[in-house]
Amino acid sequence: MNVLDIVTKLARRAQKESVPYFDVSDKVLWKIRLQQEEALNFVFFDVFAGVSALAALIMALLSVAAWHYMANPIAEYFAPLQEVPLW
Amino acid sequence: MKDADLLDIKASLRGETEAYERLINRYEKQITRLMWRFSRDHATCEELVQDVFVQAYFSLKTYSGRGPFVHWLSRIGTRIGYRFWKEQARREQSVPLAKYDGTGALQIDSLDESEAAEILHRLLARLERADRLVLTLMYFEDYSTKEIAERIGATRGMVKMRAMRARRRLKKIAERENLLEKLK
Repeated sequence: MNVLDIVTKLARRAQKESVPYFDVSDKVLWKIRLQQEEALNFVFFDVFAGVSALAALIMALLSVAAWHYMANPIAEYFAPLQEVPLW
Repeated sequence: MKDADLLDIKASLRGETEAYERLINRYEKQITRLMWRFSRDHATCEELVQDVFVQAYFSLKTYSGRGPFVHWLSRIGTRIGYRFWKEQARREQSVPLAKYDGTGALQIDSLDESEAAEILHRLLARLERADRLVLTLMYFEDYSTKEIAERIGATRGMVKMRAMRARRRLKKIAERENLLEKLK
């Protein structure tokens, strides 16, 4: 007998093997709920991070003028006066 | 496809957990049977079965409904089982056949079914992962090359070629392990 015939014979017997039975439904549903909650937390975190980034951007834009002043506080004294039409 | 499956899938997509529970109860035996081919450890197998149903739930939207739902589930199962083998190989947990003492000149016909499955499982574990997958589905699940191609997402020609090469390699391994002397 060929060695592969033995393997085929083994396979035929193995196919009749009784397989253990697990009731997984409760654990599966629990895992699904857990993952959904995690996903929700991530959404909340993403929204929070987005709002924070937006606030930081607004603050950065507002502070540009202040930054110019801090970098060279006496520049205004030497800058040529703007002509302002009086009437 | 079964009407009951279709109704339960639609209900599951609407978020009705009872419907998904019904789907699990309907197919957990078949999926357990498949996952048992990837791990013969009870705890690991149960974990794999759970993973299949969890992943299936989150991919439910992608199920087209063209083939039977159980085929779609077993495709996910095959992918998860294959990934499990990959991780197992990284941890080097496969047990060589030489360590199996129960094979001393036994008659195959007198072998217990689970003993035969254990020997075959260990023998196939010596193969390369892709070869092992094809022969596992072929020998344990009695799948045709067409069915294997559908499950693993390959062409039938590729599966045939892979199966032929895998059998050749398996033969060499079995000869090296003196399987002919151990089993008659």
